[in-house]
Amino acid sequence: MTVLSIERLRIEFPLRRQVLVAVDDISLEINAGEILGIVGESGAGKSLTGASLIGLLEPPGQVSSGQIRLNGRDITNLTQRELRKIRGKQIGAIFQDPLTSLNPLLTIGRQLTETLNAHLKLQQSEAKERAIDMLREVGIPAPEQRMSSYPHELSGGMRQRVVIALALCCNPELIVADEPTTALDVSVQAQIILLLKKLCLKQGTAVMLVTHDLGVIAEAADRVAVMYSGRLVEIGPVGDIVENPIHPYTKGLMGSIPVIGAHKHRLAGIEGAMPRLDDRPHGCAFHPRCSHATELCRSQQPKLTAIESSERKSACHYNDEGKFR
Amino acid sequence: MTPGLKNSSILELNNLEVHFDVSDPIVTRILSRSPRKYVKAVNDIDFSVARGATFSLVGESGCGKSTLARCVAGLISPTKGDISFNGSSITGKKARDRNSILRRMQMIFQDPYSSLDPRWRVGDIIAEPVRSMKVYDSRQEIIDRVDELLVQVGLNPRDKNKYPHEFSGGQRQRISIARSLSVAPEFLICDEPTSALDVSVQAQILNLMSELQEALDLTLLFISHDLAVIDHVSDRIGVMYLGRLCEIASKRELFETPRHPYTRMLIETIPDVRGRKRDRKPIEGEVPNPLDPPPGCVFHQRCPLANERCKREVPVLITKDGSQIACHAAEEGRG
Repeated sequence: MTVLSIERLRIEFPLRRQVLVAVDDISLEINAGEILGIVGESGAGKSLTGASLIGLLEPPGQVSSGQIRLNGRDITNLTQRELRKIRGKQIGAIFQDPLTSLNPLLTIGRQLTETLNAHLKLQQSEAKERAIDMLREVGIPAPEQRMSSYPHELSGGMRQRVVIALALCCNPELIVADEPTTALDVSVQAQIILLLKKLCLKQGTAVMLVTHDLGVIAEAADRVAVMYSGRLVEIGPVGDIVENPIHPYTKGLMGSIPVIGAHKHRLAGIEGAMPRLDDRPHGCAFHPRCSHATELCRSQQPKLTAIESSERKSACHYNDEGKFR
Repeated sequence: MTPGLKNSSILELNNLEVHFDVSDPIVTRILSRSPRKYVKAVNDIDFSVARGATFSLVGESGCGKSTLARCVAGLISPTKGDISFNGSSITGKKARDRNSILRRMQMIFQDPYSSLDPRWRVGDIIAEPVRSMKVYDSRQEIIDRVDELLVQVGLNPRDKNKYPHEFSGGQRQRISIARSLSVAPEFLICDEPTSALDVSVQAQILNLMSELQEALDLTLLFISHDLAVIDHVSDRIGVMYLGRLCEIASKRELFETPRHPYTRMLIETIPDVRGRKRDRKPIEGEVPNPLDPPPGCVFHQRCPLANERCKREVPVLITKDGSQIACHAAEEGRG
């Protein structure tokens, strides 16, 4: 069942001299219980895509066209008031830094019960019980005592668990997780990923997992969408994308990652850097860095097209001849 | 360099300790009768780096790897122990006397946004070490050297008139590398040089560094939390946990037969692109507070092999089959 569907989403930043297009023509769907990873380098527009779903685009950023549907309901241009009803209840959010996404002045328990009361019309005692259950669910030891702790009294991993509890406490249909493990120690990352995966599968929540870390994506996601310079370049099941990427950018990205035990002398890598928003090249945005670019790539923007006999889509003029290497 | 030093180690650390005093102010201490408090950031560190090789330190945040690097570079003075570089001790020397050593030892920092002065032109940034150490006499020589360095790190000589903000993160890191190479050092300390960069840019910088290492015959002390990066660049690896070295081994040994339970845990749990279908059990718990480290082996609370001895006795590094390991379980053959 499709929980979230985005159609031709375009996010613009109108400035005095020009309009910067940060996200262009993004279409994707996430099903219940599915984790869609959105991966790309800084500035690719992945976080903006996530922020647009929960109405947290920083002005002057705005959704200029396209549609975001949550369970069939159009939530693209809701007022702040309508959005507040959805945020926390139907869409939960997990951000990178758990210390800034929790209120430092309120106890963990207060923050959880407040969220529950705001959305679910529970008795105070019910809310408290539910909050304790939630903390237990996310693996916080001695949840009854932790209810009266303040965020600064917890470690980074524990704080992120509390944020996950907050995001999941109202049984949302969708969770937007923006770099949820980036601020954590490596040995804690794996714990948090497993927890997120387990809980979302259990509750049937759809997850949009935004991260630059392909390792995290490979571990957690069911499908992956790769973004480059505001556009989707490839989307498909995680195994296909990781093991057999089609788009030259995805290939380059995979080649850039050092792999334990590979003992390569050089990493394949990609020359150059992603273009700036105000300096995007004509045609395919990736062509200046692509070793296979032709005249067609320089003049015409490729469309995201389905790859035959697979669930994948890739935006390259030479999809079919995909095996140029 | 004396001929006898060739093939020997370029850097040796003996019993190095760095403790930071984080006590309350003296009045508070007297009033509340609280003792002085220390963060034991680095404890009992012994290792040596072979000339021309890459020695890496890996560990999670707070394990003391950066403190150790800064200590080697002379930015922090050690509480105890000794560092010798090219056979002569460099601890306790005055800054003025260190100059001749610093010419041969340079450092690259993690964040290319804060390690370059935003108000200096790139050319001045790169020439600064050369100027302050008076390597060249004439201005023209310095200009030529800067041009040469910019080309060497893959930038354009014209870039020397620009300011750091005109460059991307990867390019800034190239500038920072050029600056460190300007005095033709033999030894580079690289403190997480790629962790602020995107993966495709990280690959470019790692490639550049390995080219430069070959061309200039550099020895590297490389610090990272990313095991895959460590595996890519290193010859020998030291694994740190809470201020202590728990294992030192060659790259091959470490990844094929990790001996210390913490090393095994790191290798098993880190999210990895190729480890997708691996059945994993993440280690419970988190790194303890360095203000109040557990007694005995600092890892015992998270270790599946811990017994009574581990709770009491601090394990020391022992040599076993060519690698060094600090673990009672491995010593007794329990793991």
